Formats: sequence, structure tokens, C-alpha cells
Amino acid sequence: MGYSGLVVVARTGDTRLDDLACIEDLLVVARGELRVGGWRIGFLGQNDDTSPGRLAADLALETAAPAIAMWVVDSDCAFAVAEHPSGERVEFYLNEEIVKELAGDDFEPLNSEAVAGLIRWAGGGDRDRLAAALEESPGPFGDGIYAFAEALGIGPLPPA
Amino acid sequence: MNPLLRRFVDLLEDGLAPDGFVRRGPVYRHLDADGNGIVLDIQRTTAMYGEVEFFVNAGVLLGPYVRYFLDDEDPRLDVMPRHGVWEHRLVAEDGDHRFSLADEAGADRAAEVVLTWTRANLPRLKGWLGDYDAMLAAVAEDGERARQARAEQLASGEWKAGRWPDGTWREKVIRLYRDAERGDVGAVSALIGTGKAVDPDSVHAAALAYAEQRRTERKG
Repeated sequence: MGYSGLVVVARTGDTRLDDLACIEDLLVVARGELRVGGWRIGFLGQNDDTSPGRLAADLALETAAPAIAMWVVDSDCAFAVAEHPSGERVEFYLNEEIVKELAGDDFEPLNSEAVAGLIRWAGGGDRDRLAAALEESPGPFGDGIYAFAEALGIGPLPPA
Repeated sequence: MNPLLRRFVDLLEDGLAPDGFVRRGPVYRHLDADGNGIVLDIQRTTAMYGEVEFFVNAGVLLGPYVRYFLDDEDPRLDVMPRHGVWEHRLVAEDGDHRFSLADEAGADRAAEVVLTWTRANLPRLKGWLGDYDAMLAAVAEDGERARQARAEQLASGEWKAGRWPDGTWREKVIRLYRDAERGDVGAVSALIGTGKAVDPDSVHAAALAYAEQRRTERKG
């Protein structure tokens, strides 16, 4: 059984994710792994008090920076929302093929426009790596999420 | 957060703060300088949308035992009650272990249940922190109470609430770290047993390493 729950990517600098009001309000503990540029990636677990769209908007508003919130299903796929403080929003999946299988007739394709939107959202990034990352599953240890973030330029901190 | 849960969380936070508890997410912690501590955590259930159901777990932590699981930089240190040496699930007002909030009065009553239990038990729990002998004495007392309760139940054929001691102990872990704290490598080895190799990732190996560290410190 894989990971199911919320994952966020937010630019908070020295501030822990759960020191943000919108994360604290979810009653979770999440320091968030610090990445280059003050980005943090945090796994919040299962929570029915919010949604990826609402959380991404809350994060962008509170941090005044772009933010992503995604709902991961059993480490296999994710529905994600990237919110920009300007109000531009990009909805996409990680591993759209699996989402298509799971959703059946309710499936709504999102990824055809996602790469361009996410490059705009991030103000840069590696188009080919991003397209490849969107096709991967989040993975049991979040490897797919980290690869996705790195394609947007949100890489790990260099060794101290 | 659901407003009823927020009310409960805030009431608990305000009520526990005078006793030195600090909240991080669903966990309220009272820690001493060595990382020994008392913890209460709110564990949400898999209730459906709109339902507010949770357990409240109490625990006593042994600093070195916690550090076996998580290093000092591990963010999961904030949610470490699962790695205590004494654990107890509180009982809600209706006798169930699951707290369920339907209105503000219910949230207030639930907070009062938890605060009343905590205030009543805090002196006992604080007495255990860093005091291995006190914990082992409590293990023995609880064991005796459990034996008596079992005998009474068998004799009477009926369940009598309140006769059984609260909580579950991990006695061997306490003994391991008590001997390790003293730098008594021989006693730790004897507890582990000599007939098998020590798994390097096990609590046995961690306790042995701690015993050797303490022995070196004591000699120094």
C-alpha cells in the first residue's frame, strides 16, 4: 500500500510548513524538506479539511509566492493544482494514464496544456524533463514528486 | 479545521500550557532537557466528511529510546508519541475510546475529560521522567493490579471498570536503557542475551552503543 494524501510545494524560506496558518489549520506536523530558493516539499498525509485547489490558493496567498498542492492516490498518481499569486492556476496530473484508468468515464484530460502552464507558473524549467516527470507516478518514497519539482528548478540543497 | 475540532484543540492547548505543554500540529508535548517527555496526541479517525472523530493517546517518552528511532534532525520527532515506553488511550465521556464531536458543548466536555485526566495523572507521569527505577516500580505495581483485577473478574464473572491499570508498558526497553544509562555494558548484554548476534539496526544495538558511550563518559 502506497502513500495517499496531500503533498505541497511552497516557497517559505526559513519558515516550517506547519508554521503557516493554512497548514497549521489542518492539524498536521510538516516541517517540509528545504530545497533551493527557499522552497519546501511537505507530505501532509490524509486530510479532508481542504482540497488541492483550496490549499494551493491559500498557500499562494499566505506566502505571496507560487505554490502547488496535490492529492496523491496510493503513490500511483496525483491530482495537482499550481497556483500563482497573480491568480493563474494550472491543474494537472502526475501519471495521467493511471488517472484515466481509475476515473473511467469521469476522466477529464488536463496534461496537454500543463507543461506550458507550469513553465509560466515557475518562470522557467526544463520542458522535456517536466513532460517526462508528469508521466511518472509519485512513487512510494515520493521520487516522482521530487523529479517533478527538479524539472521546475526546485532541486535539493547542495551538500553543506 | 473543523470549528468543533478547533475549539477542542484550543481548549486543550490553553488548559495544558500552564503545565509546560507545547502544541505542534496534533501533538502536545512536555519535554525535559534530555528528551524524556509526556505527550498527548490527537489521532484523527478515517471518519467521513464532516464527522469529527478522533482518539486521544497519552504517552511517556524515553529520550534515548526515541533517538533510536529518529535522529535529532528528523522532522518526525514532532510526532514521536508512537515510540514511548508507556502508552494509554484515553476514554471519552461515553466510555468509548473514540471522541466524537457534534456540538460546542460536546467539544467542551471532551476537552474537560482530557484535561481532568491529565491533571489527575500529571504528577505520576512527571515522576517517571528520567527515573528508570520509578518507572520499573510502576510496572510492578501495575502488574500486581492487573493480576488482582483478573482474579476478581474470574471470581465474580463480571467486568468492573476502573480496576485495571491504565496504559501499556515496554518494560524491557526501560531496563535496557536504565542499564545503558549506568554504562553497564555487561547488564545490557545480559538482557539482550548472548546466544544470538545483535542486529545493528535494532534497539538492542542502540542500547548497547549507548551503554558503551555512557561507560566511556563515566571513565572520562
